[in-house]
Formats: sequence, structure tokens, C-alpha cells
Amino acid sequence: MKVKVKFFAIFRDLFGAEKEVELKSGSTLQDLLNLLCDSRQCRQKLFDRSGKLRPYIKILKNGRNILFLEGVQIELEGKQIQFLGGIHAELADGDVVAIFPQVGGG
Amino acid sequence: MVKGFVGVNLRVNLSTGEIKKEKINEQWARLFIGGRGYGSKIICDEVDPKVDPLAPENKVVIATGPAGGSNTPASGRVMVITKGPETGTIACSNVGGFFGPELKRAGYDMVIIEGKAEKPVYLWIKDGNIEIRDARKLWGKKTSETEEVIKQETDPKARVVNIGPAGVKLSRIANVMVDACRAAGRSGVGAVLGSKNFLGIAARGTRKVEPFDPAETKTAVAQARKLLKESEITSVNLPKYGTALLVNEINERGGYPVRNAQEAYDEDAGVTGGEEIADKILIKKWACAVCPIACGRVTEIREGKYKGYHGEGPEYETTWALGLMCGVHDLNAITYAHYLCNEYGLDGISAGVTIACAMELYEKGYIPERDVPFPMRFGDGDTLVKMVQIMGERKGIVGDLLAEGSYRLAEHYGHPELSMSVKKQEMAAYDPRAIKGIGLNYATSNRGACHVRGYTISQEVIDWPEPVDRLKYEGKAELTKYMQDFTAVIDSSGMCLFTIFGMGYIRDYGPILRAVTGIPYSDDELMKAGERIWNMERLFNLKAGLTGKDDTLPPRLLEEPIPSGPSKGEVCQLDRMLPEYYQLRGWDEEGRPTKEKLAELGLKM
Repeated sequence: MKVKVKFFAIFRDLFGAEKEVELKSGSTLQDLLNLLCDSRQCRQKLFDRSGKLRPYIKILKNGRNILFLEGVQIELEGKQIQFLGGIHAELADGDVVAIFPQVGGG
Repeated sequence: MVKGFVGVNLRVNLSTGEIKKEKINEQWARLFIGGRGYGSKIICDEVDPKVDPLAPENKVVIATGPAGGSNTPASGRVMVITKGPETGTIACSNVGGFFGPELKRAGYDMVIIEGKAEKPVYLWIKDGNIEIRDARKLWGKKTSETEEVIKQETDPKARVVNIGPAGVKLSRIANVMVDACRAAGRSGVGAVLGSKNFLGIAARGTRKVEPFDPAETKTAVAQARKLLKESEITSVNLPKYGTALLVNEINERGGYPVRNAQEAYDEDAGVTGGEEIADKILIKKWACAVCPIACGRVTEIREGKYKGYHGEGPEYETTWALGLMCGVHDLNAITYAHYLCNEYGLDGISAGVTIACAMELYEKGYIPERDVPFPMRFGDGDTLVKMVQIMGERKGIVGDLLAEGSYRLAEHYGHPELSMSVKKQEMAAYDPRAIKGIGLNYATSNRGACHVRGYTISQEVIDWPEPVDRLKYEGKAELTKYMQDFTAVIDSSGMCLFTIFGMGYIRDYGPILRAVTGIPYSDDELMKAGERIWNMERLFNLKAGLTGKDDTLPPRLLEEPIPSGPSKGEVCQLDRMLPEYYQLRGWDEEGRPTKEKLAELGLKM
């Protein structure tokens, strides 16, 4: 599947303005970010030393802040399984992901 | 004696020529802080809320705050307060630049302008001395020329506030310019000065304003600077890209009003955004007095029809209003239109939104061809520029109506619903259908639709200091009230609202205000002062004849789902937030403060 990724502000200097990324079906945002961070410099921009996404980096999936993406609950073998939202959200073909540093204004 | 203030306000009666110096009321300094709060107290006490805003009986207060004139970061703000001619509500418009600290160094905290001069005049204040000077030869000149001549006539180092042709011609969307590049843009405050035959003020001073506790002030200021440095918003991105960096942020969420808010997303909006401005037209960044952020843009148009023009801007709001709101993607035309707004002394937000309204009226056939000097269709940069020109000059039938703002224009042609305004003031660059809290703030703002009276965008979009889901209704009443009260404190302190992007809480402002003034108000008391200011403004509006029915949004934003983009299908269900907001405010069901709430705040109906 193909996903469009847009970068803004200072991230453009590092990642470019826009990329189309080919991913395996079932890939998550985390997988996408891992793929995008192909250098130490890139990785340091997005993640801290423990591998957590840096605070205040904003990622939108189809316009929705991933912090508020709701996980999906499904029943599997009689058990309720909760899939996580956020960075663990699954991507689909044609999704648009926008990545922003901490910006403000207005 | 409270410190931080010079301690003296200047009162100038233009009808009689009488000039008075008045001591700062220390009780008011505690209850209303200064700036917006103190100045609004003067207007509420002295101006009949039912007065015609353009009559001599209206007054204007140009107010600094107690933090101004010190080393406090971004503390050079000035508030222009009056009864607004566009909304009929109390109006105040905030501006940066260098005038505020200079006025304090010249010996005054605030200037109260009343009456009407027989002929155009300006005020020259130098180290406590005041002179009312003839301004006839400058009346109606562009703002930069006026500033230059006033400096020649007074002192090259003077700092100047002045109106332009739009204020002189009583446009209800006229601004007041500071340093010829920063604007007290909103609410038509420039027209009120114009109605008084008052061109502006030049100030020059060499006095020092002492804080109450210099050591504590130094510590508090150092802490504030540290917070602003630690925030990537205020230390990296705002300086590098300016406020227009938000174009992509808002557009990618599908909350960027396009073509008079008929849409809320544009695939190519980025060509008008901060990254593109930095790449194509930026010469250097620009900072107001004692500001470490430097969000201002000094720009030059380098190609196309407007090549060679230079000036300041555009900002986030104007690149939107004069850009995609009018369907225009041409950054050069947008920038030139922004320069023109500054030169005419027009509010760039209201100018753009009014032009967008005219374009929709024209395209739908509601404005007859005989009224228009040229086709007024969405999308063409040159049309945009020509429309700003006829608006600034009030030229022809439509030019004259454009200068009245979108509501009066749309009402004249029988379709007031196409004005994207609240209480007749034009909305800002955030679509409440996609960002719910800002809708409640537009609806309840005391000066009509306005983003900076309660900037819920900070939480709803910027995730600062804590993220809030933009699409949820729950919690938005509380967030809006909190941001409105908090903002009233900042606006009254003399500091810039943008400091909130580093200093996220009242606890970050309290130490500065206490150290500078010596007033031992707690952080809770400061927030209570913010609430008091908000309720005082509300009372003025109720006495002026407004009611809870005016706390609404344009029908389009309430009823027409966003047709496409990331927020497709959304509307703003204001009724899911407004009753709770009234309740949290301690107001009755019709939006009137209860006796108990007024007693708690020490206010009277």
C-alpha cells in the first residue's frame, strides 16, 4: 500500500516536503516512522533516547491528531481485543500523514 | 504607591483643548491590573454604552500595562480601548511595536482621548510635556508617510501611533498603526480616532520606570526568558517562519476557511504559508520592544507585477484573509494587499473577510453589475488588490460599502447570512466546524468574532500546554472560559499573548506582576481579575443593547457541513457548549451575569 507523508517547518530541511512511501499491508504509524528515520539525525529529531516519540511533535493521520485516534475493539476467540490508537494505529492505502514540529502563531 | 506604573494618566479633551494629568487609581490597579482591564474600566465608567461610537461623546483609551517599560519579555504591548463602530460593543485592540515603552518613558501610562477637535490634530508628548499640533496637511495621507513627517516635525527618535486614510474616512474596519508596521487592527478603533479629528500621538521620553522589587523582577524575568527559550515554538519556529507557519497546521486539519468559508481545506494552501514566505519574500525577522520571539516579517516582493514593493508581513491572519478566504493563491498579490492595508490603515482580517463576502455576493448575482467597477470573482490576485484600493478610498458604491465591513455590505444586498461575522465583526482564520472550542469563543467574545480573546487553538491545535481534541464538544465551555479570563490578565499586564507559547500558565505571569508592581495579588486573584474584566465588558455590551441572542455564529458555520477535506461533514453545534458556558460563568440562561456573580466580582449592573 502507498501512504503520502507531508513534513512541515524545520522538518522539511531534514525530510523534504513530501514523500510517498510504500508499506506492507498492516503497517502502523510506528513502522512508517521507523522507515522514514533512515539516519541517526532524523531519528533523533522524532524520538528520544528511549525510543519514545518526542513530546509536542504532532502527527496527523488524515487530519486527525494521532493522540485522539481511537483504538478499535474487536472480538477474537471470545476475547475482547483492544487495538491501540496513537502511534500504533494501523495505516491504510491512500492515507495522508502530516508531521509537524511544535509550532504556534496566529 | 504601586510600581511598574509611571503613576500618571493623561486626559486630553479635544473639544476644549484641556489637558489633565491624573494619578493612577491604586485600587483599580489591583482589581483591573492595567492595560485592557484598567482602560476598559475607564470606558465602562465614563462612556454611555448606548452612545454612537463615532460621536464626540465616545472616548478612546490608549493604555500600557504595568509590565511594560521593563525588561519583561514581550512587554511593549498597547491596548486601544473604546466603544467599537463595527460591533457597537466595547472594543479593544492590542498592538506591539515600540510606542508603549516610549509612552511610559515620556511620563504616562495611558492617554484618554475625549471630545472632538475642530480641525485635525496630533499629540506630541516629550518627557512629560504635551502639545496639541495641527495635522491638517497630514489628514488622509498613507500611514507610513504620516509617521515619517511626524518624526520630522517632532523628533527622529519619536515613536508614533497614527491612523490612515481609512480612519479619516470613518471606515468601520479602520485600524491604528504603530511604527507604521504594527497594527491595533481589529474592531474599527481607527475610525473612532478619525471621528475625533485625531491623527495620532508621537512620544519620546528618557525616564526610567522602576519596578517595585528590582531583584525579584530580575529573577522573574530570567525565569520567563528561560521558559520562552525552552519552548520550540517561541525559540525556533515563530522566529524562523513567523505566524503564518500555522497555515499548514490548520489546513491539514481541514479547518482553514476557503472562499468565504464555503470550504475549509485547500490542497495548495501551503503556497501562502510561513515556509513559502521564508523562502520567497522574507528579508529578515522583526521584533517588537524587548521581545525575544521576533515573529514579525520584513519582506520584499521579488517577482511579478508587484516586484520591488517592500514592507512588513503578511501574518498568519492576513495571508489567510487576503489569500485563501478570497480563493487567492498568489503570495505576491496577498503580500501587496497586506502592505496596502497597512498604508490605508485597514484591519487586514476584516478587509479580507469583507472582500470574500463581496466576492460570494457578486458570484451569486446579489450585487448588480451597475454597482461594481470590475468583476469581483474569487481567486484573482489583481482583483483582490483593486478591491483593497476601492475599500481604502471608499471609492464608488461598492468601495464605500466594503469600508463598512462585511455585515453591513451583505445586509445592504439582502444577504446578511453571507457575512462570516459575529456581532458584525469578521471571524479569524479558524473554522469552528473543524475546531469546536474556537466557535464558542467567537460566539461569546466581547468584541465580536475574535480568536485572541480566548485562544483555544493553543490546546485544540497546538497541543500547548496540554492537548485537547478539536472535534469534541465536552470540556470546551470550561476551556473557553479559562482562556478568556487568562487572556484578559495577559492583555492587562502589557505582555504579548504569544508568551503563552512558552509561559503556559498563570503561575508563570504572577511572579513578574507581583515583583514589578508590589501588589501582593495571588495567582488566583489575578485569574479573578481576568474574570472581573470579562464580566465588566459583558455588562457594557448588555447595557448597549446586546443580548444572549447575539452569542451565535454565522448560519453557514452552524448548519452547512464542511463539503470536503479532513473535516468533511462537520458543523459547529454551538448549543452543545453555550448553556454550559453560561452556567460556568455564573450567568443566567439569557447570558446575563447573576447578582451573586456580580457581588463576587465587586461589579454592579
